[in-house]
Amino acid sequence: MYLDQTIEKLSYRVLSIVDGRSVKLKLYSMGLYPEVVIRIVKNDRVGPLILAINASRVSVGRDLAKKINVEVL
Amino acid sequence: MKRKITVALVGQPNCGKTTLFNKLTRSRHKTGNYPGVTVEVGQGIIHYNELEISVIDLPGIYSLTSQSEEEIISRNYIINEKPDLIINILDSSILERGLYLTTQLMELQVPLILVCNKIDLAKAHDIKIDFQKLFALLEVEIVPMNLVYNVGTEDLLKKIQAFFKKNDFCRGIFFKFSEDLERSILSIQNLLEKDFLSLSRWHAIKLIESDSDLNKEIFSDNILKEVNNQIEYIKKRYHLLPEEIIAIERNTILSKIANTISKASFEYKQSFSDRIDKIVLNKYLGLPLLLILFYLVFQLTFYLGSYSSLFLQKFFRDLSFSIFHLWVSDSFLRSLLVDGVIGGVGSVLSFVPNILLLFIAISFLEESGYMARAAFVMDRIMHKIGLHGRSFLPMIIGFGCTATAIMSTRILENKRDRITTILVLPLIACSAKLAVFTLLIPAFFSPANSAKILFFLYIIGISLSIILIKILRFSLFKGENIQFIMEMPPYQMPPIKNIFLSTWEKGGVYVKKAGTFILAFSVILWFLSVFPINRKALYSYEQKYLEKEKEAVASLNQSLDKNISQIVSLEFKNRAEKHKFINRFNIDLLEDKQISSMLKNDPLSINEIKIIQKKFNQEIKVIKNKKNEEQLYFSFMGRIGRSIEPFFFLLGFDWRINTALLGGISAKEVFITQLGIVFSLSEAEDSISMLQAKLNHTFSTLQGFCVLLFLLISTPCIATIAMTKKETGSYRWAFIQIASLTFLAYVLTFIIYQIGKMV
Repeated sequence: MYLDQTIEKLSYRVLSIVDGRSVKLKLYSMGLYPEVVIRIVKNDRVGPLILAINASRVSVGRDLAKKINVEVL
Repeated sequence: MKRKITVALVGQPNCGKTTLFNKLTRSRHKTGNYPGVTVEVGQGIIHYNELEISVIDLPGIYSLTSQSEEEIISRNYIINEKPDLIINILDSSILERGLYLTTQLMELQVPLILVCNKIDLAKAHDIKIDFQKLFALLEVEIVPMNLVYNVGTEDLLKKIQAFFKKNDFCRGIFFKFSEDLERSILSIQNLLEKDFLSLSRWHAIKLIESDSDLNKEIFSDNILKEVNNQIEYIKKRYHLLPEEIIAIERNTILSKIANTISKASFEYKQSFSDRIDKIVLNKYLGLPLLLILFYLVFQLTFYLGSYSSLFLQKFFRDLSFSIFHLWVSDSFLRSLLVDGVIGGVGSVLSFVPNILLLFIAISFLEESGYMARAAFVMDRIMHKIGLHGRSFLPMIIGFGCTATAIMSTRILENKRDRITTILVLPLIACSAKLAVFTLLIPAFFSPANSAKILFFLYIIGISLSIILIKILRFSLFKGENIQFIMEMPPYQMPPIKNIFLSTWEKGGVYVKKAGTFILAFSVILWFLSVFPINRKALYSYEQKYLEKEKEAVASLNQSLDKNISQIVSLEFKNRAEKHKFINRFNIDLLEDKQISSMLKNDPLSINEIKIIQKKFNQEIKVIKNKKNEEQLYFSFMGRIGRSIEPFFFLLGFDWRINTALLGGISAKEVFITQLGIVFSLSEAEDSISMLQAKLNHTFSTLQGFCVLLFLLISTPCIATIAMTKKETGSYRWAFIQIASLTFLAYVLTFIIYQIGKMV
């Protein structure tokens, strides 16, 4: 499934990211990389989402979320 | 003799780097000759025992790739300037992520100290860090720190001192990647070490990562060939780009380290910030809350700012006035000083209060952590237009002042977003344009329609800006990927020192950089309107003036007692001498103490004087205005206005409108002043209705609307041009902005006028 379909308060494992090189490198440098476990803090079904990666909170636009492949834990 | 050393602060955004910098150093000034770049690098000095430490505050970065201006500047600084020590600041609550940058610094093999900041925040998240273990793993000195309670800064300075005493620095260790990747890196590293002594593992990794900013010319074909071979090998072996697999493995290694040094409960813990976000980012409450906050920012900037701006304006008006009094002459040097220089300096400084207040508000929102939330809330809407959520604030500020709004685009991180926002901002009608509109609209439209037309103009501006953004997305910025990725820093009480220092700096930068540009341009425009001198008009003005003066003196002598009239007419002549060369100056003899005390008990004479001087003042106003009109007509500006007449005739403009539009480049308010001059009106307030009547008489409603439309869209004012140049770092964007907006204004006005004429 993709990140945009996730449910708040659940944890997911990132499987892959399907986007351009620079976006991927930026995400990796912010701690969002394949195998990392994230938790969905906010997903309103419109607008960006907020993820918890350990103690940090990262918001990701919906278009980008559609390119991040995750599995529920 | 103190030993001079240079220390650079490096860290990820929101790690508390600038707060540490401000804690350590008192004064601060900008360094950096970074042409074409708007990222700022701060520098400050600390004296600590026998050391004189020059501290460099490098921009916040997540990694040492070359994805952004900040990253390139920071790493070029580290590599080329070779500071004596790097202080890497990390947020202890997200140590694992901070170390991502640290591992890259260690690969560079630079002298390094780690500062683990925000230990209190880590505690709040139930994260206990074993710093001893971290030290053993990385072999780098570590200073735990809490800047809010001032824990650790002294410790840091002591460590720095100890370092330089021993001259022995920790540079950290290398992490080994997986076997095959490691082998590829080593094969290049070995080749590099043969050719260059100074190049390290970091360069080998950057070569494999196909880093775009690395100067590849220095490497031999042999090395480059090997790099290509290894890249191909890694791609086949891992089915990923080398830079990706390196980043992923780096993260995996750090995740393991984090597990060994910290006892983080992997249970998700709702933080204080999460609880605030429940309200601030609420689907329904988020937007109204944001609008209220931004409305407050706007009010603070322009309402509170208007008082000090008015004060400054009054100050400069009084200053000009006193110069007129002290320096009675019609010399052009005086005109240059008063109308050119003081006028220019005045318009530069009148923006300062607004800019300072705006930046206090922005840094407060930024430092408290709210700005990231505002971007989050607005992204839903702005995303549809094609801009970042953060572009919303500059748009709001744009209703007050375009130049100030351009400065506020600094909150945008992505260059593409910034330039797009800057380019379209002039379309949001600013308060100066509003002033012009409120004056012009009633001249052409009935009171019932005035408000509608004004509203319509605003809507046109906003719609055009949206269309232009879309066009830019498909033309100049075609294909560039905009993805919304942003860290949401935890809320915090903004450090007051940070707010004031950053505000102070930005104000100073504005005065220095934009100020000189605005000043130079004001002088040029002054020159264009004053030269060449219309000698004929000047001569005839002086003749007429003397005539009127004689008439007035004669009437004074006639209607007053002989003993009084001598004194009065002498004073009158004195004042008339000054009056000749001051634009807005009326003679009032009763201001004179001697005369007023002499006539204390003589109301009849007072009345006579009042009548005579009033008549004189009015007559002079008329001939002065006539002279000013003739001068402007004769000046370069008037000539340009006339020579472009055939071109602008198609829009329904005559030379008077053209000349006023040219004057409007210096500031939009000047449009009205110039229009007043070409219509031979004085600048007094009662003349506004006269001007409106004259405009109504001279131009049709359609022409009036075309002027409004052209003013809305065309060339922005000097301050805006100066800001665009300064904030984009090049004349190119300022030129594109002027050219495209003027072109758009021309085409649209042309269409409206030509269609309107037919209907």
